[in-house]
Amino acid sequence: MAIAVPVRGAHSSPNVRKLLRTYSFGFALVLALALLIANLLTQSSFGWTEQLATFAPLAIGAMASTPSIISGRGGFDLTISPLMTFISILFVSWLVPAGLGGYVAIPILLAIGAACGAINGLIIVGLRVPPMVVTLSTYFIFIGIDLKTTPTPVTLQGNWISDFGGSVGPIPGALFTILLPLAIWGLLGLVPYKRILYAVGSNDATAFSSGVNVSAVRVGAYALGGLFAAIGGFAITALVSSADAGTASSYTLVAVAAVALGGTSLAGGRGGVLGSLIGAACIYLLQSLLNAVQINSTWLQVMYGVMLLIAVVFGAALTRAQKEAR
Amino acid sequence: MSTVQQAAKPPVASTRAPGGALQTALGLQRRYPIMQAVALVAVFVYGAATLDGLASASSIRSILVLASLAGLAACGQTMLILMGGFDMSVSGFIVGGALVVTSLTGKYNISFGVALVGAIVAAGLMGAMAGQICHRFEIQPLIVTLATGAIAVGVVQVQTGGTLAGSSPAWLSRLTSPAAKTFGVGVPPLVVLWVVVTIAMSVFLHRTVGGRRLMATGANSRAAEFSLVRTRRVWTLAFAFSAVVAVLVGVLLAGFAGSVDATLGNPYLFQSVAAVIVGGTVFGGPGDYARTVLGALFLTTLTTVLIGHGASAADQQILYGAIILIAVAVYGRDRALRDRV
Amino acid sequence: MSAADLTAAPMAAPPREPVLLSVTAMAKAFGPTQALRDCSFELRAGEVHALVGENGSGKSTLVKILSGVHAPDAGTIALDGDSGADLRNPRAAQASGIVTVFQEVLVAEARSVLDNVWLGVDSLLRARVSKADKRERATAALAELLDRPPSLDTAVEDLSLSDRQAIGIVRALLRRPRILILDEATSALDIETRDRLFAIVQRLGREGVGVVLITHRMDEIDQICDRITVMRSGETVGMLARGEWSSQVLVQMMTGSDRLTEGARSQAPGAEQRVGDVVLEARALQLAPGRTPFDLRLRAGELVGLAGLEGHGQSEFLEALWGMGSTAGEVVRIGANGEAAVRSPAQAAAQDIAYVPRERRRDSIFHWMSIRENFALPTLTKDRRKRLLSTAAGRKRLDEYVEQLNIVLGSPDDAITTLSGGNQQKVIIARWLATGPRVLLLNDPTRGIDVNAKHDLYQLLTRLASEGLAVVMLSTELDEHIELMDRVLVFREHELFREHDRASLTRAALLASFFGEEGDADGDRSAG
Repeated sequence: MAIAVPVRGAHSSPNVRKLLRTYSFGFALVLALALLIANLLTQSSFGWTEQLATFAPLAIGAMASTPSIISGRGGFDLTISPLMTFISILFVSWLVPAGLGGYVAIPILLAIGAACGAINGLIIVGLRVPPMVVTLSTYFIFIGIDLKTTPTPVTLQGNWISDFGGSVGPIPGALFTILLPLAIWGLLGLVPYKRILYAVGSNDATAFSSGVNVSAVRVGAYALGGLFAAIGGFAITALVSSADAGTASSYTLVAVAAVALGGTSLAGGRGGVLGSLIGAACIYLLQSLLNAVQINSTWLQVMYGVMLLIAVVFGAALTRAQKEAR
Repeated sequence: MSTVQQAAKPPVASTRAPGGALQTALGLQRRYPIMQAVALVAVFVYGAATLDGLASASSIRSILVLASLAGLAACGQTMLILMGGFDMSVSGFIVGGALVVTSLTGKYNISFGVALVGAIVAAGLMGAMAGQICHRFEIQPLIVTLATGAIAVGVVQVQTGGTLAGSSPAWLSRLTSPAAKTFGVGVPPLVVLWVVVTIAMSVFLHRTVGGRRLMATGANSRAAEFSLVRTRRVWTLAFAFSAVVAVLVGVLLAGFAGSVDATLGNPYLFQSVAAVIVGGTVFGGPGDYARTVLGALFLTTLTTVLIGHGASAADQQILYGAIILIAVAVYGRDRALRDRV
Repeated sequence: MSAADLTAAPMAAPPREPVLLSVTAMAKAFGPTQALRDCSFELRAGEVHALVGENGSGKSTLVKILSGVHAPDAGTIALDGDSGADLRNPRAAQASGIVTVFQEVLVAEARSVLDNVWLGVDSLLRARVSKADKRERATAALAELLDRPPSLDTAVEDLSLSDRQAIGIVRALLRRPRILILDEATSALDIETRDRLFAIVQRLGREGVGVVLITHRMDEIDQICDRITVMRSGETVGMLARGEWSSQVLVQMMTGSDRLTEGARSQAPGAEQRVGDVVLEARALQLAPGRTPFDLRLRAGELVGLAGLEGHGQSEFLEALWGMGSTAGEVVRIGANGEAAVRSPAQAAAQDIAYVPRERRRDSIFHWMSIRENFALPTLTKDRRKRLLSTAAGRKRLDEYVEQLNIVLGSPDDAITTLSGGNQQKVIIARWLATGPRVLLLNDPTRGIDVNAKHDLYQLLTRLASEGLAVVMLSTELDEHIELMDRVLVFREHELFREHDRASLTRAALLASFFGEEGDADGDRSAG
């Protein structure tokens, strides 16, 4: 990464910076609330259940991308999106026909998701190759497998999973899939792992020399991403009631955009899953608003790009640590 | 970072390899792309032995044309990876360039030349912006070019309204046809173009001030800045170059493919990255374009052979992923954590 | 506690204490480089054992092996007489009681002080120390080391370099080591913290901890060490007990020759004969908001030293001279064509000012590029023949400096990383001399390079000054200022505190200035 020679004299408002460093998702939160209000004003019938179900895959994709990014060294896991589709395909085309379509599928698929993530992590730490290169390769591989196993969409009928696209009792089903990764991430705070993960992301050489098993921490981060992606696979299946290889790369761009918008440092060591959720909400609500005011959908791609740029530039400008001369 | 440089700093790669012969071989491999050349020959020989007609002149011509397109698409990528950057926007700018010269010429009734110049200027500006943003805010190029690529293809798509009317000029199709001849010689013009570009890239990277500054920026951006290299300018120009090259490749592709759709560029993103990495250029260097050329030839030959054996598009994707992994496993290694303490 | 108190109470050498650690016949190679050939070392409980040697003599490699960072190729390590000790990785080494503070400042910048000092103690899924305990013990350890300890919840990135290094030391202390290795861990510390550290080290010694201290500073060795092991070219060449060593003996053992570090200055013409016109002037320069501005006139042929405690503004001043800006004031280059302001590094370079940055590996070295390419970068245009770079031209230019600077290299096309630290630094200095500077700014150029290379460098600088080059050099070594400089500016709290000329350049006077003591003003004149 480029490091310009630091020039002195730019010590502007360190307190604002410190505040934003601690609550890095603050900007996204304000934006999300504003967009929510705008949505509620423009759409007389804002169907929470449906909206949440549509939102879920994006939100979970963003959350799934977060742990590996926090683990540092450019830890983008590009496989999250095709992995979500892969899990969906496994469920619809393999487990259901094999009679494993019940709740028993949940632990199986979560384990597979985590294992896929862990494989990425193992390759990254084992080969000592930039994560981006590894996950780009496995991204191709996953998309290839998705296409190969499901050349045409397979429909799923009458399965419990569609409850997560509708409602479970009075509660929107998507809330479960969205809140599950958040809950897992929160619970993880009870063990030292999460703190160590942040320290590894901040400076891995320090962590290594202090006796941290850096490789295990990294692999754990990718496994966690894979686990979340599996939950995202449920959310996709619930939403479209089918498995479609066409969704394999749908969430790659927006998930990373959401993470950046949510204030997670793309250099690692800062940020969190909650920020990514809020970042995803911003993107989703903006998209929904554009639909509501009937703007051509081809603009969406441009909007994603522009939002991603604004998010990363804004985030970098605000939360960048004070430049050290040495 | 250490201020005290022990003489005992280990070299970057494979310090564990035992034996003098293996060390020498690895040293040679680091210096020259021997393994890549051997792999290329091996795949070709295997293909020629198992597939009828692979070794025929016409099939070699078409392999060369396909490799030229992949290699040209990887021009910018090579430069950016050497500089420590990365370009995800290749596919976006390829589609953008192709659409501009096919659809927009008809829509706005402008000449091919005007459309081309417009596309080049726009791409150059967007690339320069990406480079500026990456450098100024220290953001991973992956993210920024993901965004600029999406914007590029999105804007063009909005213009064309998603309908893909129009076609490329006939002369462009002739230029890119494998059957075409260059001044009566049986070599496709596109291949000749590629050879010229290869020479130009090699001279630029190794024999010019600009090339050396680009390499220095990749090797140590901070030290380059201290050594009076204006690294932001290097980043800006390199990203602008990459975007412009992608647009030009898009134009060539429009001629080659005849019709254009929004997924036209996708394979070339994969191929550009794969060609550079398989060729053996490492992030931040060392490496050069000649390696990318070998990488592009190898990948194209392999793809041709596989298709000959009945592989599908999905198989190709899986294979590409696997090959990149194998390639980086062999020589794309970072320093071990223990060497960074 | 001041340095004087510490020397007044040297610890009794404990020769009969049990041996904690013994290393025999250790060897380690990195590719073609044999870092350790035949290294033996012994550490007893309760002693402070200095490990000294030129750069590249293998000290750091030995330390890294003991810390579990590298695995040895041959040799045995016995802990308490048991040679089966597990030192596969830092975690295992720390479990065996060996804790190291490395020469680099290793902190997780984005994390709190508390997280940093306890990093690596917990396992991934289970905490080993309760939260309350962590806070309490961290607070106590920080208070013992630092006069003004930071809050436990401060992000480490908001701390000064000295405090960051202190965080690394506290991290080591909290592990309750049986063997504590300090690998040039004092280089980033301010003197006050260093003295407190030495007091802690002596306390640990009394508690039976064995301490290995690696340092380039004789004063530190004299201050607290009981024994010294000297290394040369990957071998241990001797072990000395307190009373057996002197600077002369050590230098002789380290270099294997009788050459001493006598000043280059005695051979050089006196300052009076060579100082010429003013070439660079700082006017009303203010280094930080609210600090007193000051002036400086730099003359051709002058050697000016910048000194002071770490982080008191001397680096900022040097960088201001290179056009990197200051809070207020201006820097003006005065040349044959009159005056011109220096407002950016590019302007500085254009006006024949050259700057050798501090951290070689981070700021100067292009690690995979050749020696020639590393040398030529700022002066590439000189190698252009018909718009293309000529290898022969570059090689020819480099050859001149190889001879002039006594650079030892194989082929100019080898990677720069094949050179020793001292030779790398010479290449970097050659890089800047090739720009034909009239003003040369050096930021601690001798830090961590071996005695011979230092000696060469002193001679070079003296010669360049006699040829009319104005040299400003920041150095953290007192002796360097005393040996080399025509005058020394001492900085304190981002102000110019005192200017010492030759007449007032003594260790005592410099140290007094470091600590802000006015001292007797004889021979001093306030700057500007």
